[in-house]
Amino acid sequence: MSIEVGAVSMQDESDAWVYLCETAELSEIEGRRVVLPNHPPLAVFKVTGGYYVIDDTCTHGSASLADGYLNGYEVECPFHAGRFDLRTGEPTAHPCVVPLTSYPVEVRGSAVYARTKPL
Amino acid sequence: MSEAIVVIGGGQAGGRAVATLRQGGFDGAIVLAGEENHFPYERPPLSKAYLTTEGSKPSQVNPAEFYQAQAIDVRLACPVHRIDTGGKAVITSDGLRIPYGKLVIATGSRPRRLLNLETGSVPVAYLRVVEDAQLLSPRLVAGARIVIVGGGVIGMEVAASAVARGCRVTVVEAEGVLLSRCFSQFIGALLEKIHSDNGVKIIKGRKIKDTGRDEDGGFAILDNGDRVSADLLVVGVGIVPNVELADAAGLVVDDGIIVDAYGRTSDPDVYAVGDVTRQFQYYLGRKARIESWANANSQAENAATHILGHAAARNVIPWFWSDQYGLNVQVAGRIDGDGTALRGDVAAGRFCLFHLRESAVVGVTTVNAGRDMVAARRLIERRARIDRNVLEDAGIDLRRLAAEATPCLQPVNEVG
Repeated sequence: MSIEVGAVSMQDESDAWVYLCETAELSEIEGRRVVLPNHPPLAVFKVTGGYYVIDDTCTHGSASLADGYLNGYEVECPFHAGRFDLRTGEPTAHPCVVPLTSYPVEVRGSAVYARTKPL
Repeated sequence: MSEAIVVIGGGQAGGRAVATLRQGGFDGAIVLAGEENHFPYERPPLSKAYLTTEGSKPSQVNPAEFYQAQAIDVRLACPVHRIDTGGKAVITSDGLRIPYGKLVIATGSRPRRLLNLETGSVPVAYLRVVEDAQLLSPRLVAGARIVIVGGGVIGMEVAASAVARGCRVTVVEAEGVLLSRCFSQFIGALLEKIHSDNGVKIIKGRKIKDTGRDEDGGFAILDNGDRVSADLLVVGVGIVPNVELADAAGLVVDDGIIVDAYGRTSDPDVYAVGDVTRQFQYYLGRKARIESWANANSQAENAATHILGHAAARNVIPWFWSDQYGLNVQVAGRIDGDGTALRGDVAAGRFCLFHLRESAVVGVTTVNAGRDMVAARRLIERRARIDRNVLEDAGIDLRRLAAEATPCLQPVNEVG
């Protein structure tokens, strides 16, 4: 079993690991949008063997970042071409200026988990 | 360089210029003088979220703390009266003289006005600055009869926003087609249908001659005598570049301040950037005054970089977007081709339309397919000649096509 841990963001003790999808459902060409109950949509990315999970809704407009253009560790928003770093959630190109959350990630067997507030 | 860099104009281009200067390592004095009473903010949301979402505030080009932290001297509500190119200084309306080593003119454009309608019986609104949006938004109430004058990008975005607010919207366009400056016929027709489907009444080939008022309320009178009920006219009939300062200073002006690839005007110490400029566009094959957010950014960054003595100018593919009814439409390059290739699913509302000239990709319009825009841009850069069937085959990865496309460096039948 391999465990790969993504970016560590400010989380508290009540956070839980939540199942998102199977690793087989991810390609290195595009993200995958995952909608959990009572949670803003998430975007899951596979990047050269690592996995990253960020908020799916762009902080600039309403685009789905899972629909964005993946380039290295950056995703480019399909609406207005702003960019975010998957590892930190920080915006790396205008017009995106507000960071989004990059969630800690774990791979357990064939499944991708992210750590977030319990649903 | 120890002399100050002065930027006239606190819009998108002005904001990006000062940011690029500091990020590029310039540590001399920077003065930004803008006539608006706001730090540089972004205009695209003014016709979109600003009109549909209550409590909207303009989004800033640079974070609020940026100017003080970077020692950028910002003078708000500070119009410039004159540029003294001989003495290398700008003179503000208050009579203040600000010397410069290099000057960047980023005065933007102003809306073209329909003066004869402004004194009529129905109120007239324009949309360019945040105050316009602040005045307009509260009038977009459910049931309000809004007549949009001009079926261009601004008009149609306001139409979509007004529909979202529950208004009854009519668009009056002088030409026989909507959106013809920015979009190809196919896309214009598609958007027109979507507006129609959303209840917008579209009148083409007509102008508004006058307005009137009777016991039922206000109305617009068309040039054929027809009347259209109207509580408010929102006018979007184009913008006029603010070239007056440059013209008075003796700089070369021709429907925009003429600039070279580096953003320099006819005076080597004076640059111009953004909506106010007219510049030869490599990817359009002609000089153009480009009225887009992306152009303001790229010209501002380019000029600032050149002022700092860094890398040479790079050709940028003109690119812009429009959001209407949750549809994201983007255009890169030129839309005037001799052929097109369609990739994707028009019915599903998600596709790319490639614009071809002599079989080479010279432009692309994407509808809800922004992800493909990156690969499409590469095809444009290389003027890729790809078989239409291949372009239209969704089973072939567009990025692979772009990566493998042989650059076709000879310009295709261009006119200078």
